[in-house]
Amino acid sequence: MSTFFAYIADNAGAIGIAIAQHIGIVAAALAVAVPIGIASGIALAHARSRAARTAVFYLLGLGQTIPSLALLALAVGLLGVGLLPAVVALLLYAILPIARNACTGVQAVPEATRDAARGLGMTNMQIIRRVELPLARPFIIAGLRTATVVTISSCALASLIGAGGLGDFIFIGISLFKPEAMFAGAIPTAVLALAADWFLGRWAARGHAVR
Amino acid sequence: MSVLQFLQEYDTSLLIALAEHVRMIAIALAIATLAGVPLGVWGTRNSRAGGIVLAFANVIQTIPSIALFGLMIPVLALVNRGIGTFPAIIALVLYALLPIVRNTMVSLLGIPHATVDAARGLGMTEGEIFRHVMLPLALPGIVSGIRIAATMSVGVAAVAAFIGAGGMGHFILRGIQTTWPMMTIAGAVGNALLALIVELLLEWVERALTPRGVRIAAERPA
Amino acid sequence: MIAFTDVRKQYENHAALNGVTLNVEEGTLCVLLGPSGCGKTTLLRTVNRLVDPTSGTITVNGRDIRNENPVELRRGIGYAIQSVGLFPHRTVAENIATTPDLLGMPRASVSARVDELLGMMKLDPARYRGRYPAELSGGEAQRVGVARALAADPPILLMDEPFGAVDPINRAAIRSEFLELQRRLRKTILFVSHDIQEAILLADRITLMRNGAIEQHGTPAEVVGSPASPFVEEFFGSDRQMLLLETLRAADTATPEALHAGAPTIAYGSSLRDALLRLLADGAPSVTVLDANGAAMGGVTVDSIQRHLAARGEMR
Repeated sequence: MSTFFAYIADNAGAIGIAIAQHIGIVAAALAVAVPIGIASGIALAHARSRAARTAVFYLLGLGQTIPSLALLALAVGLLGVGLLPAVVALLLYAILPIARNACTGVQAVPEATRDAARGLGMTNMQIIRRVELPLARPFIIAGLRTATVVTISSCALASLIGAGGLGDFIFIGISLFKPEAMFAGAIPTAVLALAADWFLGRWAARGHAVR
Repeated sequence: MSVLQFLQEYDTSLLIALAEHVRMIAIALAIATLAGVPLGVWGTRNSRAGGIVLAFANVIQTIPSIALFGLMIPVLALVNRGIGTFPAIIALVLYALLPIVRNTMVSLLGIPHATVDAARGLGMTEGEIFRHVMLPLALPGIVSGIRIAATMSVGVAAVAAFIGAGGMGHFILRGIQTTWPMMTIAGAVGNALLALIVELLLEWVERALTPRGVRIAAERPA
Repeated sequence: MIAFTDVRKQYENHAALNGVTLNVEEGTLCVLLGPSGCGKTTLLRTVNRLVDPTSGTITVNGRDIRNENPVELRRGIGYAIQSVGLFPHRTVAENIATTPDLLGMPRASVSARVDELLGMMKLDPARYRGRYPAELSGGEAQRVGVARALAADPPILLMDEPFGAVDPINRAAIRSEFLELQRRLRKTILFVSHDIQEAILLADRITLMRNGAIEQHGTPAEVVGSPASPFVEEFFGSDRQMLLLETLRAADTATPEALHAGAPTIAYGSSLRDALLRLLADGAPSVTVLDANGAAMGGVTVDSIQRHLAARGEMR
């Protein structure tokens, strides 16, 4: 225990930087993935061909089964090491649940509601902005929640390809067998993931209460 | 070195890695299923217990796998089992519990009350209701939980290479350590392919186990 | 025969049954009628012990059901419910065969029985045996539900709004088919309904319930014609007089003096309501009621209807 606190005290600055890096990488990936994911989800929900819609939706799900480590490894194989390949891999991975949930949410809007909006004279864009997006909100937040937790988790692996973040401490701890370093990396990572899950869960629940 | 040469040179070690990987997952899934399905059944009879089990599994699930390994190593090191397949399988079981327990509970609770009431009213014993009505109707959902757990396990098992559990992740690790893209990509592609195969295989099992009458109902939305 | 003696069911914060005493005679159909929450479904479910009363006694053919094994008791009592509860993973034939299979009846006779029941329900066995519930219309599913309840030929049937989930046109057809069937089979039936028309059409006895207690029990004509309380009167509403006519048989009013040559005719089982509507529609001075063989047995006029009601002293 005492070695753990001593380690924390000695490396407080570095741990702080790692936490900031970690959050920064996740935020950067999500900043790109969220708009792309939501837009493509909505577009997919409106796709004319039912067969294409089902196929793409299925493929998005299949993509989610690819392990994040494999995706990061592919990124390093193709793009080399560093921050950029890591962010690219993470954001591609984050798009999948966001797009899938946005699509499900928009498809869950009853046709009668859409019809009523059209009857009231809304344009297609207005229908999307004022009817579909608000109604699909709980689904979109659920997708965002999944994506955020997965990205925080995968980001810990991204340290392996030189992106920095809290994974650095975990990997140092594992390779040198220094439990204090493992804890210094693992605990904040776990707390970040649990906190993000909790906050986004609360946000989604609040949306339900309003409805 | 060309892809072909690489595959020729490493064919045995790739196969061994694959076998290690599959073995870890199979053991973990077997344990998680044997524990998770009864836990799920229990959770539907005792909603307090169900809530606690689900909340616990949900927290575990949210903890990143590499962080869980990082937390487990020092603890398991106390019994001299900090690295290798042992902690890997423990972590895999913990991760696999949530989808299995959750899907078991959701599938059982999703059976219409009237169906169970009719079964009881027609004179089935509680055991007969479970065997003849609840289990066949819940089975596809339970398998779906096992499928989600299985594909997830493929990914977590890859990460387990970092704590010396072997498997496909080992190739990724070695490739990165020696900055040899070919090796990294071999591990990554193999890992991704394995996940897809497991997914498709279990999707097929799930479909095969769906009773015909239920499939017809699903294809014909009311 | 089913006999309830001071049956009570107390849940944590409300009493579902407040001391119900009721006899359902063998071979009769008793409709439990009342607003939702009046306890009619709870009362029905006490008979096959899906609900055990807090106190009171229920006997079936003289045997106290508390001493019976619930599972065996249920296998001897038919059970059909509104949402049908067909097993989605079993075919129509397998659904109907549920209780016979549980009782271990030989396969060949079960199969023959399934065909017989499908025929009774006016469903072609060749077409319906292998279908799944998802391939049935609402009306077909409810017929299968009733067939399943009848499968082991139980002397007693419990039916909880068994025709509730069908559209009005099909409901009328299923009801009259069922009535015809009951005239043949003479089962002892406890039948929950909230539909007044259905109760009047099917019931030998109506038991009107309110707040877990019986408000009035009697033949449809008694309950509709002589309401025992303002609640009963109000329950049947402004329609009550028309409903009363529906409970009375035209054949009971018909007299040979009122026979007119060339008058419109109505069938033997018709109600006074049918007769009155016929009189109005045809503008005829009388209608002729035919007997079971189709011969004229007497005539009914507006006057004779009025006299009949006045004699009963029930038209207020």
